[in-house]
Amino acid sequence: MARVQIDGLAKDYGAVRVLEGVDLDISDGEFVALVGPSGCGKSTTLRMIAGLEDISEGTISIGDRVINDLEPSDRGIAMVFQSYALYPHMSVAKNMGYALIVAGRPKDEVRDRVAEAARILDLEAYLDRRPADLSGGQRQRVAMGRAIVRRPQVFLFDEPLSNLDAKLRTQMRTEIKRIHNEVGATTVYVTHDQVEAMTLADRIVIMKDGQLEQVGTPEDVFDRPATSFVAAFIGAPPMNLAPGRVVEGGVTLEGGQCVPLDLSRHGVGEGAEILFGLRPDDIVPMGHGMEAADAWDVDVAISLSEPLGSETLVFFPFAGGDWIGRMLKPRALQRGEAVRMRFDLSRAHLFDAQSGRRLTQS
Amino acid sequence: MGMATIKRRQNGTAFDLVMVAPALLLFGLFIVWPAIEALHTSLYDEPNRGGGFIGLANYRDMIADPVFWIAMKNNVLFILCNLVFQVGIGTIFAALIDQGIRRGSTVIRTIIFAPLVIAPVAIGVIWSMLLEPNFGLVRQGINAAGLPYPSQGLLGNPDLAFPSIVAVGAWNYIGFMMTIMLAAMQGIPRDLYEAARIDGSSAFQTFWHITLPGVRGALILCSLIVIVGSFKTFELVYVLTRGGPGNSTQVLGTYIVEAAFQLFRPNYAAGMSVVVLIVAILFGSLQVMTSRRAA
Repeated sequence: MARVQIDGLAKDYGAVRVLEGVDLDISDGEFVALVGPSGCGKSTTLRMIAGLEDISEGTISIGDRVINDLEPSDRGIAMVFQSYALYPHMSVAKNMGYALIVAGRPKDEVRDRVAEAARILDLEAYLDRRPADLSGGQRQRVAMGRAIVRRPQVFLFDEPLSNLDAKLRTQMRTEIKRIHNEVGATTVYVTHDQVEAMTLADRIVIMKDGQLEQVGTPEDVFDRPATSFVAAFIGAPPMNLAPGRVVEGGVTLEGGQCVPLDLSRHGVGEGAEILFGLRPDDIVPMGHGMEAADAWDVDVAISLSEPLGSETLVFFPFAGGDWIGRMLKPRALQRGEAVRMRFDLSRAHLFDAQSGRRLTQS
Repeated sequence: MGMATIKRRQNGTAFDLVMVAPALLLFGLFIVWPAIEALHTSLYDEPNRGGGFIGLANYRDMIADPVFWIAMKNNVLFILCNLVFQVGIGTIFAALIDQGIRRGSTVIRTIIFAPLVIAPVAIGVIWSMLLEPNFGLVRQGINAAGLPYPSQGLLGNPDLAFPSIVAVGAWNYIGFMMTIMLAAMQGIPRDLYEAARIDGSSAFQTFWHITLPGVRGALILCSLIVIVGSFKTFELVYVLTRGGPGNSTQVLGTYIVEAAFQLFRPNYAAGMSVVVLIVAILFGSLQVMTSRRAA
């Protein structure tokens, strides 16, 4: 197992710079998820760690070795691909043992290590089958088995669950977590699914336009998003955001609503242009949720409701946009129904309107 | 007319027969009937010797005919050489273009593929001019390089004529084989190559373990095309050497023509055609079976 250090990583495709100034220090045994929208550079970063893309600038080290110029097979990594990339004409056992076979390892060793990985992944009954004879989940496990057999220092996952249906994805997520706990290897996991990132990772790296937006624990990025982009990206549904201006004793939002705020917590002066944010979890209809530490009540008309069983998402027009609240003890709601929503302003976030950087201090 | 009527009519046997009749007619007229006629003719003596029924005598003659066996041996050699040079080099070229060459691959592909659009007879004529023993471009080039050149030319030398024909055939068909193999190779997902790189697979191991199994169907198809094509080869040999010098490049195709029109043994020639046909049918059905399995 090993620590992964990325310093000043950059990637150019011709004259276009797609990745810039990526610095990341991943501890031994840590599970780090790279998330971000399509084209943000997360897969490129992973492929540069794997050695499948050249590094334009910066260094990547695994353990004490700089691996920039090493072949992928010499880097001590194993990768699980989105498409699984199983060799179609080889049996499961040969797929898993291929790295050892081409390295000329003794047959007994290959057999033992494949058997061990098959036991961890519950694949013992399928070792003689071809990938085409397996289900999506089983193929995914074989792909992981191939990685485990190599006993790498670092596991790399490139959106490994994207091709699975929702139910299987949840199962495999648990499986990946279990295997990580059992094998304990340093893991870098690329996904565009923030639920995967939140549930699996020790730390989440959020990327945008080839740069890091925030690196932090799931709680950090959820409760203290460093930018309005992170606030909108992490959380489902995302944080409600509205532009406004700081006035005495609060902020005035587009549409004229004046929100009373304790400005000392937000470190911002009067007249500043800001984005005001509040998560749906912190907006609940009166009598249907938690006690607010700093309550502010607003009468709204429901524009839409989405019942999810244990809770209902409540959509209502606010500050020039459609905001979302959460009803935790649901009852049937009618469109247009007047509801008093309680905003917990102790959970409010302010971001700089220009840069999107977080202003709120806690 | 209602839909049901159309459907019933379309599904009827009579309708099916009408639809396939033109093809059946042409196939029968130009393939089946000549084949039956060849078989029938081969059972009779030559017209200038009375033309009586002689049963399998022509086939017995064939077994005793050294030239027939030279031609048969040359055909088998031709198949083996073409497999190695056309399919083998075509596959290697395809692999190089698929994996290694980043710039100008379209130009290279076009250049290699171009000879295929020229008729084999024209190719024979072009190369017989290039290989002309006294003034041909090849002689001039080799002389200019200060290297020795056989006085009777490449095609006039019994040891060099056969390899020369194999070389011209390879020049003609490598592009075709390369195109089929390249299409198959490009159907292999790139992820597999990346996974193989991470697994530490060398270029050769990757070619052997990933590429070749991935193009197995195309490889079998190319091989069968070459086998059938080489077995019934005629134009190139006929135009370049007419089977000479001294039968050194004789193949069944040229020997059949020689037997029929120079030795005036058309019925014996018909017998050899039947042999070629049987072998071609055997390999042809193998080709159909393989392509069905691939589909």
